[in-house]
Amino acid sequence: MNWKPVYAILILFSTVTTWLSGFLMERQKNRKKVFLIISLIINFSILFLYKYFDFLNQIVFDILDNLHIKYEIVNLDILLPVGISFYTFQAVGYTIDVYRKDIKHEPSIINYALFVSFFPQLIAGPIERAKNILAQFRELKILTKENLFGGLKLMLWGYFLKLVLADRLGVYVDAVFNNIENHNGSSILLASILFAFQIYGDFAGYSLIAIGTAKIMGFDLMTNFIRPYFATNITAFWRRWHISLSTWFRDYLYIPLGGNRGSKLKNNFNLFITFFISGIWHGANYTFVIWGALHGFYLILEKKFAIKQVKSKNFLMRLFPIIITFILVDLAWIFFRANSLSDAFLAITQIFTTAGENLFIKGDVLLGSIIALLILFIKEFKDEFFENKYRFLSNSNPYISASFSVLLFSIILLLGVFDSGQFIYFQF
Amino acid sequence: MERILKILDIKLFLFTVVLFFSLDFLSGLIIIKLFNNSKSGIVHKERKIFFETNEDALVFGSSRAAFHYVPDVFEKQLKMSFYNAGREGTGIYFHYALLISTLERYKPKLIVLDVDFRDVYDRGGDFGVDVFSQLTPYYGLVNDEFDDYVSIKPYDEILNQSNLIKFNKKFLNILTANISSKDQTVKGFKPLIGTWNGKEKHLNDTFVISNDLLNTLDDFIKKTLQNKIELLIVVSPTNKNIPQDFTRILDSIALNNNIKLFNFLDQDEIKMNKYFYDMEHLNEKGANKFSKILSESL
Repeated sequence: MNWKPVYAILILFSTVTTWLSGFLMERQKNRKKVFLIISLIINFSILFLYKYFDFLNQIVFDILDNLHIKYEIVNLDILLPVGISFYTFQAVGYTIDVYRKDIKHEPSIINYALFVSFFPQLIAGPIERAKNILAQFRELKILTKENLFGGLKLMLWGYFLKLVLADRLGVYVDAVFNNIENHNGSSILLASILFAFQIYGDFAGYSLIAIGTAKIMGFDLMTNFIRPYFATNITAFWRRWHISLSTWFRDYLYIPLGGNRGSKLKNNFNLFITFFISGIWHGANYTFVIWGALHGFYLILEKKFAIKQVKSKNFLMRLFPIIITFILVDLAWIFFRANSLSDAFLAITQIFTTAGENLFIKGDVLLGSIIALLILFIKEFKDEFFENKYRFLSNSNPYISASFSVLLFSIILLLGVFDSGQFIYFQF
Repeated sequence: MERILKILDIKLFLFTVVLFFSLDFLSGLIIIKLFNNSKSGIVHKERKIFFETNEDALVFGSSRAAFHYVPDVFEKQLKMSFYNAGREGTGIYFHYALLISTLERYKPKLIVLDVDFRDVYDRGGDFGVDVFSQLTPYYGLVNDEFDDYVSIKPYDEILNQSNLIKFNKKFLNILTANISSKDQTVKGFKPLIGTWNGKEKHLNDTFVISNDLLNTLDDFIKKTLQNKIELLIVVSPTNKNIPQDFTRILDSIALNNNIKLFNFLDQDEIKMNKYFYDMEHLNEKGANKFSKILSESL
């Protein structure tokens, strides 16, 4: 992931061509399919060139190498422009919406450019829909008390998730996953569990900061995460995790492929291909492909065995399916986090062969992780099972709400990791 | 601005500000109490080396000092008290801060500085300027020179007034130092148990000489000599590939300052796997052998 001023040309080019295609689709209705295809080809070509060209080259090289055919590999070695996967999907979504007449073409290119490049969510989402947000750019925005404090509170929790939870857990996760061969199964198992929460904290944290920033300015962005680790099956997990992406794939890929209509075989194929492509969207690496494919596989099995989600409000009734779902999701996360496919397989092998050995973790890292996870659990458990009771940050009494905000801010100052890297999803 | 003032509830705003500063103050009282009561781990050792050492000889350095110098061996040979003030994950910036703190209290007879290649080449992290954020709990506890040294950014002095910010890097270490009461070091030395399997790590290292690091090393040497303390520079054994000009740079520093340099980079008798815990650190057996060789040659 990288940002150079010259990369602004890419987003400008994508913006102009997509807006023009929308304009032409409305003007020349008999040729609108042509304009749709041109727009899709342009947008996906940019994404392919910058994100997947070298990966495809490597695949061709690997195949030919196995056949003992010498092939001189020519990699472009270009750095991935920041946010390209997100704004490309947003632009493509707009084009398809105009084509399907779900929305009208935006007459103002300025408003359209604001929609594509809206800074809070440009880099790592949520991937917004034109029908949700375009109209908001046409309204006059006035700073209100509700938006200001509501937005700040969302940002505050977002910073907690990022700085206290994700970056604290990342210390251990990185140490283990960057050195898999020197760690035993116990350490790898713990690191893989912690990674599930690291990536949640990192990405949900970023989303909340983006949503909060937009809210202060008077814009409502879509919710991106709803306590995903309380999901009781994989279907429910995807209704709670990266919602803007999963609904994007549902609306622009899964349903156009036929969705759950047709034969079981066709339905399974649609599911699998959707998640397979979702994996590739995350990164040009076999690890992401396997991650996506695994989720596709889980969902096919879930349908086959008719595994329903448990909607009980009783936590104990949901505990077992929550654990099973978490184990499956976490197994897939190993592929997502591992630096290579061989690392991922080594990690899984180590977990199943040496998981009983002594755990290697420093006391302060363990303690920091426990504190962060405990705070997360209390907040999420409360929100999941007692939604309208015991309100902390959003208490109707402003003094109680302010007190919890100050407490959370103090926890961030005391326990936050302020010198770690960027957000994980910036790389996509 | 006018709009912000209009929607801002002044009473609520003042309540929030007062609550924050009260919380910062009260948490500071508790953290400082715990900090002073640390019984184990790095906080305990840091407090010892910042405020309590009174030994004749001190060894300064990173983990390669902490795990390599056995005080009992040196005490027996040199007939003077010896403390290992090596601290894992630190470099010359940290050692210089420690020197300021030590000299505020007393002048040791001998200082051994274990120099690592990270004290010359910029490697970032805690070996670089990041280490200053590790030193903030000691802000205001040593002297003005120390406070100026650790305040590297213009706003550091303001931020360090907040207890929550000041103890950010150390809070978890302070908690663990109060949970476990066992000091695992013997006069600052902690042996590493185990033998290196000889696996080479493939590191794509690039080495860039840092003038800031070299200047701090120079300041360390000058300050020690100005205080008429005998200084030895030692490069303890390692199996890591060290940049070739490292030795030349240290030779030149030793020559210019007329100080003794003991370089173990090429001493094969102590570079065998059986003496190492990992590529860069001696195990207990190696530390004893190295300490014996060094102390006998002093």
